[in-house]
Amino acid sequence: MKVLVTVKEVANVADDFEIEGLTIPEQFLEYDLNEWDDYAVEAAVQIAEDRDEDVEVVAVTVGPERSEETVRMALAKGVDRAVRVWDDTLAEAALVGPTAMARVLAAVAEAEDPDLVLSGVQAADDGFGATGVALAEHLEYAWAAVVNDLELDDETASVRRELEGGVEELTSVPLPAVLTIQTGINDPRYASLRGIRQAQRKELDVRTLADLGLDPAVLDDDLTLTGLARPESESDATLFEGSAADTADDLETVLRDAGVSAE
Amino acid sequence: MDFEAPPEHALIRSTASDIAEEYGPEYWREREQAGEFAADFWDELGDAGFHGLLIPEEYGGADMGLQEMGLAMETLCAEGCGMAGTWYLVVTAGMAAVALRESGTEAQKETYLPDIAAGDRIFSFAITEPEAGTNTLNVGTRADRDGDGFVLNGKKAWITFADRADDMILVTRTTPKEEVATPTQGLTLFLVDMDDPGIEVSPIEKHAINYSKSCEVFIEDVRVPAEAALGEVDEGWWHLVKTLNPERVGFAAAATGIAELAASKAVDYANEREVFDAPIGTHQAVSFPITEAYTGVETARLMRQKAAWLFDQGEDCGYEANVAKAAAVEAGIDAVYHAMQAFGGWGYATEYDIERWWREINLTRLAPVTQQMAYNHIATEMGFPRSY
Repeated sequence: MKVLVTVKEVANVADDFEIEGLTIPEQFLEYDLNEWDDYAVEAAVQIAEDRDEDVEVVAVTVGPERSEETVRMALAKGVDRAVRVWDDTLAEAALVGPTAMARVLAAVAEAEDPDLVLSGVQAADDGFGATGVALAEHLEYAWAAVVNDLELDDETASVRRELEGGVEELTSVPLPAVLTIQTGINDPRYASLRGIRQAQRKELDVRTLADLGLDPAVLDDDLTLTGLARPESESDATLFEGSAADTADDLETVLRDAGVSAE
Repeated sequence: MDFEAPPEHALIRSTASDIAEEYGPEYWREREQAGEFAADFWDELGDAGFHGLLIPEEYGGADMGLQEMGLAMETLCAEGCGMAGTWYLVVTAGMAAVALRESGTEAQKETYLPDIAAGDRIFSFAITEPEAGTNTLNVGTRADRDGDGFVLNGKKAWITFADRADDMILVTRTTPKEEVATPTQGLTLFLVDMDDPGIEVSPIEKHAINYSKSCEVFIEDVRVPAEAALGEVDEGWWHLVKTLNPERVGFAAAATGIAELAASKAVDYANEREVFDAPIGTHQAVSFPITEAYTGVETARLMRQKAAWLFDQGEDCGYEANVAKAAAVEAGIDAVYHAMQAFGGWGYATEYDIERWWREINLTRLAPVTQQMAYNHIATEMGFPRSY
């Protein structure tokens, strides 16, 4: 059996950051493995550990050389080998939306021919939450989204999906399938020091779009990034100091100004 | 000259930070107050592979170097564990593992190293004595030949983990100082089972780091076979020296790590705490003393990395390890002192932790050797006459 797990290096923004045009400058960013993908990696590694047959776990990422640190983290946690896709076309793209990203990942998946693809529900930075499902569509695989429990046999993934309002759905998905993994499905392990050591010897292939047989036009997308802004704060609090008797008039003024009245 | 860190360093830092986040200041405040050994933290270090960091892969370890051990310890200390980040690694995973790796027979390695790597075996390392102090050449503990083996007698002081260790590496004199050409000859290390009825252990009440006991150890007529010798008989000094530099590097990492922890908390506090309509951090009387000390911490960190790098290359690093230890301790104590000052009266409250880190870092000027003993070594290297 082969499990392909998609991982992404996400940018975490510092508390005080600035926006320059359509980007946030590097000095305000720190990079880390996407939290949802950490759970997907753990789910994949647990499948490999729990099943009697040989299971190969392959991680795929689309990202610059810096993102190898994130991929090495996945390798240190038990992933067998990794593929990183990057070239000048990807580096120069203003935005790679979920549809375009899914096309790139699908090319890797077609070459790998996995029985199961695990993807995080969403990425912590751009938060589209659509890449995994779009990937299933490209591959014409069955899929289930927001999976918080997973049991696997040779032909089927039995999953529990998290719906709105605390409702959960039990579904069986025939393999091959794409599952998007929700946080909390497991308890992601540390990268042990022994794992970190072994990760240095594991295969990490770097491929370009051309290597995957993709034309640069694969990145063309209806989605364009038009603006980046910090949301207005809507939770400003006014604090009155003093006893209730002393501050009641102040409160009345605020309420009247806000359009609340007792008439 | 290459300052680019290998890729695994970021991963080590990440794993150490994750563990330190789980075992943060509040956890250690409770362990310290209760005087409890942090068994769950010890086991967590085992699961994550820290006890096997310096152990070859064939014995279940990660086969990394002292560079990585220094980084792991410093990160654990700095990200929330305080002194415990070094303390729970330096004796077993640091000194005992290095002694066995470098000087052990194949049988000894097979017996002890896999257990150490798994976190299943705790060692103590008995060097210091009430009469000899940190001048190891004066050890009074004797190992007398008796048939095929040896009989051990003596008294050790300040032996960390002796109350719960499974095994002890004991530094003894096999040939009296008067009968050898130089005092470095005639010493022998022995592996001793702590369950031996001839061993008694008595914890010493102490100023801090009460999540582990430091003990007096009394050794009376403990018989060991010849195979218990670690390294050649009478050549123990040279086997011991290999472990002393990792110990100094460990304490240098503790000093910079605790300083980093205290300084970062002081920066947070100085940014939040407002007096006279401004955060106190805007006052240079608050920020500069911490900043000045921190420049020393940064510099000492580089010296530790150099010492560890030399050690990992198999080069002599005694001078560099002593400089790193002495510099890290001076800068670290200074940084914690001024960080504590930034908290004003709250610096004295246990709930702010900084008073504990102050108590913890003060050990580093006394151990593993006093600052004065480190300066003795450095002074001699500089050309001053030997003072003892």
